[in-house]
Amino acid sequence: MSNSQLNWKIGGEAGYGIMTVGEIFSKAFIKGGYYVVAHTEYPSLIRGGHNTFQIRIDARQIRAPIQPVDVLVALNAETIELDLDDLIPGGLLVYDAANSKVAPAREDITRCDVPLTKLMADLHLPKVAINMAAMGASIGLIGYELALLNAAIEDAFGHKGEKIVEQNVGAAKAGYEYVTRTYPEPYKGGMTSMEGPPRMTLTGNDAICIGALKAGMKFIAIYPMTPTHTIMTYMAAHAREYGVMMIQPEDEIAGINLAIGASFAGARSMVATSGGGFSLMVEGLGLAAATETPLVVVEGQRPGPSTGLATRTAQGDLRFCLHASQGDFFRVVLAPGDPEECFYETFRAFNLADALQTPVLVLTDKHLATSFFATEPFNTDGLHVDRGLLLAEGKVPPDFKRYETTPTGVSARTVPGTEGGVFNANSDEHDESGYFSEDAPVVATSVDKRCRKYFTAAASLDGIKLHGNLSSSTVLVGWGSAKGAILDAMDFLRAKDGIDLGFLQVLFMSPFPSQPVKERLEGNRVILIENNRGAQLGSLIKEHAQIRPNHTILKYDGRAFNADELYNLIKEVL
Amino acid sequence: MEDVHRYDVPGTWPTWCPGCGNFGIWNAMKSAYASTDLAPHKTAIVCGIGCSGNLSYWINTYVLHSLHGRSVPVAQGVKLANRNLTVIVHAGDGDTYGEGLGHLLHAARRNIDITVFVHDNQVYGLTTGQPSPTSFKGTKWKVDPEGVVASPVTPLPLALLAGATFVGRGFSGENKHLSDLMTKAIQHKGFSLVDIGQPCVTWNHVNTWKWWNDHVYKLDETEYDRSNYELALKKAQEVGDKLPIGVLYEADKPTFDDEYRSLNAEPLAQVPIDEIDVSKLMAKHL
Ligand SMILES: Cc1ncc(C[n+]2csc(CCOP(=O)(O)OP(=O)(O)O)c2C)c(N)n1
Ligand code: SF4
Ligand SMILES: [Mg+2]
Repeated sequence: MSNSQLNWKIGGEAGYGIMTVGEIFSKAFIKGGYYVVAHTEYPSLIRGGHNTFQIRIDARQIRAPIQPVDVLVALNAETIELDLDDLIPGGLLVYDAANSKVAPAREDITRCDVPLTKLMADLHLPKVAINMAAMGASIGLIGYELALLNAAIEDAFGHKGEKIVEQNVGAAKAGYEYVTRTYPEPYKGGMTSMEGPPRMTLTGNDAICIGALKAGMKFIAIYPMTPTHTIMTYMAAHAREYGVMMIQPEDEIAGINLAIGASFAGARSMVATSGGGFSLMVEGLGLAAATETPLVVVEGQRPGPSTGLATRTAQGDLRFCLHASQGDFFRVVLAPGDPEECFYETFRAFNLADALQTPVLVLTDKHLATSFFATEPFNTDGLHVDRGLLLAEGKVPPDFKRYETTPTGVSARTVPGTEGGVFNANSDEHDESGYFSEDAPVVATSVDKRCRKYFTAAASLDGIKLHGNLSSSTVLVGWGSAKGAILDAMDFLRAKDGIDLGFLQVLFMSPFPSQPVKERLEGNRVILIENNRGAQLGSLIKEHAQIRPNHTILKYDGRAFNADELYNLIKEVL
Repeated sequence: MEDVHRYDVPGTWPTWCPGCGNFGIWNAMKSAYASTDLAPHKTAIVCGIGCSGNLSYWINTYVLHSLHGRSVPVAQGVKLANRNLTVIVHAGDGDTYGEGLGHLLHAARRNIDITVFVHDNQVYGLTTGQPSPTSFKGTKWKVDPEGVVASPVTPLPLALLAGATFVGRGFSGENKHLSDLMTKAIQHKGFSLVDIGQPCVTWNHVNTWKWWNDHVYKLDETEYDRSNYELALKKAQEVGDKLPIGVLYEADKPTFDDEYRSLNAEPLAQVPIDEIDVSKLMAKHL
């Protein structure tokens, strides 16, 4: 009998390539037809900190991590100290006894001593290659296919040349051969690859980048900040190929203003940051709204206030994103819950920014932005770039008024270079032509015009997704990255307890889908699940749909929900 | 005849105080635009917030009237997205040397081809007369009755040290000289900063028209070697009794755009984006 699921964790000192391991090991299983969710936990340190990657693998669809783990790979003694309790009884500890002074203290596990350092020394490979050897050893112990690991290694290092690939493959092989000689019995009967549709090994940030490139984003200003910094890495690798200018500004204030300038000039533009950087961008957000300049802002949340936990996760910036900047104006706020939604919603964000001529925020968090998920390739057939009311050269009417009052709140736009389209994109309150005005009726008309976009947007967007049992009178409610844990907890409830719940996912925070939310929740038992302390979505639901949740499950310790943890928390309130 | 009136916004007239130095800059600016034959629709002017920034209402080109202190980043974004535009900033000393000083230095070091005209009245005009970063040490203000303690910002040496490839000083009272200077700054390929002495007759009772007239002298273009960086750095630091006006420094160096040109033959804003293929990207993740 073979094994169809595995929870694997690797820990080591920062600087030992734990991040690379996460992607490669995930890919080895995704290539073999498995679903994978892989997340990393690490402190905000470059060297010496304790880094882990935890990879949940399953033949059936999964979307969130679980505790405990089947296999713990300890690249250093600290991992044994900190993470040994994560192992299930009967689980495997892979470690190098020569590296740890004390013997692992548990008797109910299988201790697999693998002389990783010595194996690397024998092959004259640098010590850092123990991460590859540890993956090879893991594949051997689990009884999986080394060829798939090799393929993933080749994908990761191919651009560095054959020699580097060979070294890494050689290191993995050494680990693999050592364990298959020493521990010939594979864990739970071994795992085999399966036929299935090809899937990508993808983070939320990767998906956002692909979505932005597909949408024709040409300008991105980004100042490094976890967890959106990997957008920078991704764009750097592809900017040239896609004719994108990425600029690292002196600060986020410059960043958003650069992007506004570029968008004013006609290039689709974006900024990406976290709460701290977005705090600096707030005045610029209002500038985009007042001048009706399209702009896409990606905000990857991490715990605050202030520097908070730089490398951990949270959903605490929802209210902030909805209200940031002075005055009454409308911004779109989208909250994708998985890489697939990151891609489609980012693509949509650019069309919405052009259609509504107002800022569009894409709200993610560290868990979604940086974890790997097995994701089917996106279908781009139905995706069309729509630049809204952008007037081409020769199409500008003689009486052109940039801020003409319209029923939708959106008026035709020109960009510099277009003859006859000259106007003042004015951050001061202004009349239809852009000329400043403090005249009371003009002011009220202009405010109304911009705010009317809310209703224009609301009319064309649904903003929710219904999952699970559509007629269940108990409804889970959540948003963003909590989606994965909620769906997996529902699977557990169905499998273990025969309980089939419904789940309302809120995808659009602004315009808020009041009516559909009300329809699904009214008269039902509502369990609200969020990765913050303030139940911020809950407060929106109260405000827009006049419904209070019956129970709230809130987590705000810097970590995402584990599916098994959430399953237990839901059962407590059921 | 140069047609300066093509830059006027019909039916409007500036609301600056009578006698304000902004009028001189406004006139010189229009002459400079006319003499460089700037097409209004191919020109993007980015203004800051202040009496100076209000110029945005009285100039008939594409304009973005931005935020206090942020006009320089906005202008760089415009230029980076469309290199075919002439991009010019009009902003105050509070704007550029207070809120925006960091942006100014970074723009200079990038050598992005934009021109920054600072209306330097050494005061916050629009907010009714507080000291600005260029107010002289010891000058007294209603919000600083004991006198300014800090030394003034010296924008020209700072810009030179940061890498600006065109640095000049003008004076609102020397109209022809100023418009020539502005013309040269616009024609220069690379980052240009021109600090323009602008009397604020309402709030600044130290740096008056008389004070300016007594203190400025024109650099002799035949003698002064504006390609000499060391000399420029020295001249730029003359902020005592005599203030040189004219082009202090000009150098021909690759611009940000020259370095980036291989990215796209067309300006970013004009690249077609309808059918972008991302299948190769997705394949990398399989
Ligand atoms: C972020 C921000 N802070 C403060 C202000 C208020 N404010 C408007 S203009 C100004 C100073 C203007 O001084 P300066 O830039 O020298 O322009 P001037 O009016 O002298 O031409 C200030 C502080 C503002 N608009 N925005
Ligand atoms: S307050 Fe000063 S700077 Fe402003 S318009 Fe009046 S004179 Fe000019
Ligand atoms: Mg001033």
